[in-house]
Amino acid sequence: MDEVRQRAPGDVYAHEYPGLVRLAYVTTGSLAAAEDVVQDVFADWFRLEGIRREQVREPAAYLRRAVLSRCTSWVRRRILERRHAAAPALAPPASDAPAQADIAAVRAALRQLTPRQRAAVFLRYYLDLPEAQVAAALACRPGTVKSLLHRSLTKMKEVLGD
Amino acid sequence: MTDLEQRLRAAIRAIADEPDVALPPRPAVTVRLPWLRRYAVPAVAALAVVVAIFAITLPQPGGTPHRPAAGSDEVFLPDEIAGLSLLTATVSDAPLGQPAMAVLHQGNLGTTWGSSQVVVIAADGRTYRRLDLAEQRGALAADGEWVHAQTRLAPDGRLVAIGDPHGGATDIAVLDLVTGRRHDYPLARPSAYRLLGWSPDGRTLALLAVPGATRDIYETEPGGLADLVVLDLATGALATVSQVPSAVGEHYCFTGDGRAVVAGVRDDEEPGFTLYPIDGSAKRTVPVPAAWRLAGCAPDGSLLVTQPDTADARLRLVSATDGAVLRETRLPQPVDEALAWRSASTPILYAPSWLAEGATGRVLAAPFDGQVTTLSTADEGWFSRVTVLELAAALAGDAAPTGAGPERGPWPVWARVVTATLVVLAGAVLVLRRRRRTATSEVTA
Repeated sequence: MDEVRQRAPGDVYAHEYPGLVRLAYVTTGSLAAAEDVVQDVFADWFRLEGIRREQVREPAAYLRRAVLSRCTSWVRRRILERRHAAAPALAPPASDAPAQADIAAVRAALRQLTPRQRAAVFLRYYLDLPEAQVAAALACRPGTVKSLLHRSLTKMKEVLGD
Repeated sequence: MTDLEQRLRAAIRAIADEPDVALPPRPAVTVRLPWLRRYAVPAVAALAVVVAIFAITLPQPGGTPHRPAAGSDEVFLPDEIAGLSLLTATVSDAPLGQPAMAVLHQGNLGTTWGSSQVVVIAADGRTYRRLDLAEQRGALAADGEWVHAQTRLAPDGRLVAIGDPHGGATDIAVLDLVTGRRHDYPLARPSAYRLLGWSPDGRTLALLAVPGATRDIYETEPGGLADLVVLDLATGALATVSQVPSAVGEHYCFTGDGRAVVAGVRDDEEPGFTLYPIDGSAKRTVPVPAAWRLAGCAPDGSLLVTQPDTADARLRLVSATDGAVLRETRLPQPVDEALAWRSASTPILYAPSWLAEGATGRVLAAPFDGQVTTLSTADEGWFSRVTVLELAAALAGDAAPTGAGPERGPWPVWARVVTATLVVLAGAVLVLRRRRRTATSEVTA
């Protein structure tokens, strides 16, 4: 993280952007929304003055937290807009790869999770972050992260049929 | 890690990696100014507006408490009378809080925009106020210039009588300069009138009045025969003393004992000046040679006369009984009427600048048996020329020159409004310039 902190803003952008988009994609279920959210977060990041930006000790964690905050807001707006519509899509790509039962099942399971639960799952199982850092990204206590992950896994196990 | 978790992890990775995330150009953002700089100008502008509004809506002072000049009974006359200023507060807005030492009509161009003013100088010699009531009661003269109402300052400097230059006037305004309180004394019938002066004790005001109700004509000077009227300030009663000849520019004064009014007008049938006792008893004439003009009434009852048409400015004290010459002296420049007396033989006179070409207006103490001293000067400038000067007769004799002041009091409302508007406009311009500069300084990746 220290290495990232020492990088120029442009380097941070190039390094963190893809991962943050994927985080936002899993959380929101929309690639377009994910890209918008991450762009907005980086726009704010670049607007930070030099001193204030340097005061951010962990840019990656800072940016993740900002992305998740915006994702949560986006999903809430989306829910209000489509109160009776289906949950965020997480649609498979058009050219579907060879069917994988687990992927389909997890995709279906993710639809049933809250954005916060999806974010926790992504942070834990995609980025392999320890619970403490997941808690930092979600702005909650580690105990809450455990609870979120536990409920998420329970739900996914049900879907996976185990 | 269980098999289930591994399957979950693999599936989540697959799902998260599905999108083909391309790195777009770094977002273009507008560089924001530091917080302080961003908000400093609007904050200052807002503060200026608040301050301006506060200043505008600030209640006008109701008059400062009476303040003895220099912390004692001393009274002062400015050694140099300041030129007029548009920022001088009015007596209505900020009464003197102390007696006045002088009332002067100042400036050259007669307008209602302040190019000529009636100004009061307080007994501390440094506090100046515009006598707005006298300006408001003025009238448009035949030459198109605004002429202020006539003023007469009481001997104690506390009251000033303010006339009405219109014909058909119905009242005499008397203003308390200490408190700003006004009292109107109604005339018995609409008249054109001219204020003559106060009795030495300040209880009686003399005027000439010619009845007539024509209102819209500028008539400061009753002509021909006029009623010599005295107003008792205590009761408001007006009494007609006599019919007297009236002429523009001639001087009238109360005798030293206050029992009679001396008319400086020469009746064709009389070889001198006429004394009119205010109790209505018979008038009498003081023989004075024709070349001499009445310039004042001394405290001891003698009359001050001068020769205005001669270059050497002679001055005489003559007996009010038989016109005998008591004293005589010469002055460095021609003088107008006496403003006050230091003693029975030391008049204080105003030598206007226009009586001696290119000269400075001077207030002189002119003892008949000593050196003439200049107490005060008034520049012959466009905005400093003093056309009329009155002194508080009971105070001026003891006045000492002072270089302090001028203190002009709180700014008039219009000045505060103009200043506030300029401040707001300047603030708005600054904000707009800031924003324009900010909008052009964009940073891209």
